[in-house]
Amino acid sequence: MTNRFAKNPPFFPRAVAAIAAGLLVAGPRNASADPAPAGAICSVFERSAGAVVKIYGPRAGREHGYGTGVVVSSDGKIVTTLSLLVSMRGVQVVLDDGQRRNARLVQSDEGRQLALLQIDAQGLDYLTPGESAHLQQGDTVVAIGNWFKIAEGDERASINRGILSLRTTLQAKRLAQEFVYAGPVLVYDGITANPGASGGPLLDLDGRFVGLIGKIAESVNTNTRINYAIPGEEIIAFLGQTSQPETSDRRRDERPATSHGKPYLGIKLAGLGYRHVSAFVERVQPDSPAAEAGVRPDDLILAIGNSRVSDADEYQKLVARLIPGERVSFVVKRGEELIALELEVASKP
Amino acid sequence: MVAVHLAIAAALITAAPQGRDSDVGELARVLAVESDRVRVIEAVTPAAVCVFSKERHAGGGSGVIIDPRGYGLTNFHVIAGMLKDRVGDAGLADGTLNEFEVLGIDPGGDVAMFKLRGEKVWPAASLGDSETLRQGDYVLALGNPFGLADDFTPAVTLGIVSGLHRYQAGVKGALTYTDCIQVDASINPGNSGGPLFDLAGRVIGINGRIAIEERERVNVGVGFSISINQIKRFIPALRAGIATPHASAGFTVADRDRRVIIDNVKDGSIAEQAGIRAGDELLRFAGRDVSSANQFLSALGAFPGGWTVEVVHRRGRHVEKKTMRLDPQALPDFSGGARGGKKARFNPYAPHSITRAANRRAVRRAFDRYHAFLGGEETVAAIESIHGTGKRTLATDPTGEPASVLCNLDVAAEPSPAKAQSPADTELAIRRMLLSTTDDPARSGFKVVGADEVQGRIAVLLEQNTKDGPPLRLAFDDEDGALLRISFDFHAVGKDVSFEYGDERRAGPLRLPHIRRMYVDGVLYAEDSFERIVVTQKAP
Repeated sequence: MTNRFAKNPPFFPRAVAAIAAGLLVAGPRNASADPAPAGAICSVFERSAGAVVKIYGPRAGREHGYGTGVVVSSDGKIVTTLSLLVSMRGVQVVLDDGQRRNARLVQSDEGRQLALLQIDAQGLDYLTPGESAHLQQGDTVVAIGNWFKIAEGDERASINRGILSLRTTLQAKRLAQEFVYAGPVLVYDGITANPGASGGPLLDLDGRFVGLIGKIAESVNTNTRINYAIPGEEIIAFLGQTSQPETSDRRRDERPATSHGKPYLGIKLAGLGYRHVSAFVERVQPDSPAAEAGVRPDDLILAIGNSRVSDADEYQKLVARLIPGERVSFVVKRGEELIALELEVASKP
Repeated sequence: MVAVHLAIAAALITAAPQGRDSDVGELARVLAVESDRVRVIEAVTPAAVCVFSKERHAGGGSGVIIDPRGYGLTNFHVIAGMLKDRVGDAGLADGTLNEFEVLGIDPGGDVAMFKLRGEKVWPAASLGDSETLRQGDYVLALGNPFGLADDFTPAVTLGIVSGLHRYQAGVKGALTYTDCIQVDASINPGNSGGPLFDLAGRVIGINGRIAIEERERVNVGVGFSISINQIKRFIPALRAGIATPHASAGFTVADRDRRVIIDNVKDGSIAEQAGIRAGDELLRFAGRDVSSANQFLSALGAFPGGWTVEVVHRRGRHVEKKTMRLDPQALPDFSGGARGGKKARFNPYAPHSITRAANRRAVRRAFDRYHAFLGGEETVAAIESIHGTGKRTLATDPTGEPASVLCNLDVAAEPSPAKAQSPADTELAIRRMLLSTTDDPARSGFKVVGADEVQGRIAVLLEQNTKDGPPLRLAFDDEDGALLRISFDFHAVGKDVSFEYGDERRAGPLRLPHIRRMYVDGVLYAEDSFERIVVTQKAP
């Protein structure tokens, strides 16, 4: 293949021209095809980049003083990852057109590692988070963010491409600290584990906002960084926490940030001293959500919501993602009987 | 509390794999896209080279051949160690190792040109237009990452354009990546100097830099490629062995409240002469809106010294537009540094036999390509005369009745431009001289001095300094070879006169300009439009 042109070099430019022409003709025909549809990623970028913002704040220790966020409402709500950056005073947001706004934290979720900022603005471009369940391994995904703060002012954020590698949970650490996010993640082969990327959107080729780029985390097994996003389902649930009808209270924006405590059910599982142990209930706290729903000792927990519980570890992870106040279904096995229960999640006392 | 059957619960909690319409047509399209891509890669692979220094074949970089005569592009930092002898080796995808010469360098922009030795026709890639790129476009990087290609077959990495018009500061005026293309195609040590292609197989950039903050020296999803449109403005000088400086605007700017304010104007600079003052707001530079200091630096860095750009600035409520020829920056100083020691300091800008020869070759190339543009060497050699008739419109009276104008170019007539009696005669004498297919003595002494833009076309600039004759400057289209401009000092009146040409069309056996504009001291004097051009050929 490579010798062909070396032997017949005069034909080389013509060969290139012919292929070039062929491609141009082929362009529209490929418009909908995965994996290299001409212009598909350009179109996703054009439709989405207007809702991507650059976030700047004070530097603190090894925290970078910058990140990315996604506008999720025309009146200035911005979702991003929860970090020291957005928890401190003096956070500023630079919109896609270069306008700079002060931002304040109005909602945060420690378990999901998500934060909601509010800026004073109207008529903004925004993205609506969507579910990620339709994504299959191998689907092309793109991530937009201001990694390394390469873009400034009205310069547009960066876009990287990858394919969905797998949906999993992470055994990870963050710098030398614990990695608190226990929920599901979308892992892809595009590189986003860089300073400033977290909080940017992960999009599919139809432009659906299917995830939020997570904070830099390293695998505890390999010490290498993981490129991942928190799935859209988590963002939807997070935003749903405030979806009660808005009051006419004009001072509502001045309320302190709402913060959710750790979820509490009142169940203690049986521990047998080794790791993969089934989720048998050992004790139920009186007056707890579990007691009220009728959970009993020796019940085997099989499912929480739509997720199967195969062992105690998984039970802990699933419970960690529950939000105080939400109702969640349980399936337990009692003797030979399967029983469906509904619990109302409380906050840890 | 409801009891349900075990099987139903199992079905509920074990999500069935989601089916997708396995559309055969879609699969066919995917396969077509992939095979198109493979064909492009096959076509461009022979033009990508591995670059090695003579001393060490470990390490090295990459490059790309852009002309069948063997001219190629790479990074300055790849050949910086070869500047003493100006030779190196290029490994081609056919497995051969070929010696090359290092011609011109652009240390400020991290670009250099080489030429393979040997009079054969080399596989060359064509150049694209990086201005048409969009964020999200697919791109291909070819090169020799980590020196993996033992047989010189380049590695291919696919990615997308992550960002455009990025500015990445350099070190002491060198290796600055201005207006560059950010890509997520994996670029690693060894890829430096290699080509970035669009999916039509055209070179749209030269890969040279990666972001590695906090990480090892490997790709972390961020690579930078020098845009080919910037490089095109340097190529005519690089081909001629010239160390080319970048442009200086003569002023600096600062960001103030989302406005870009000129905060300092250098004494004696072109900006000062153009009437730009500190405190003015910069609105547009070189055809681009400027809304941050970064964007100004990015736009400025894409030009060589001597380039003419338009500057729009505001003072108070007054918006002014200036056209100015940018000053050259000083070339980066490599003589200092900790490693200098007692050794004689090496000057990479000193003339070298290789660069002198490159310049002579570039002059010949310009004349040859001009003849090829006109209609070929044989056709040009057979011309006896060219007679044009048309109308002249004076710039001082654009609405007045156009006067008729003649252009009588007789090849056998007295050919010395030095003895012409008027600017019009000088122009004819020079055009006659340029038609000569033998080595006309009047054509000796020309040198390529750089590049310029003439009516939006990138030109190679030739200059002739003679003792008694007027200094002459010629500009030829670097892409198609057309004559774009002749300029000279007309000594009798001490005026700077230039003629520009356009609207090249067929006239008999030749392709000739049908528009000619005459400028005196940079101001348009007259435009001639030729309706009829008759070319007479010598009897065979």
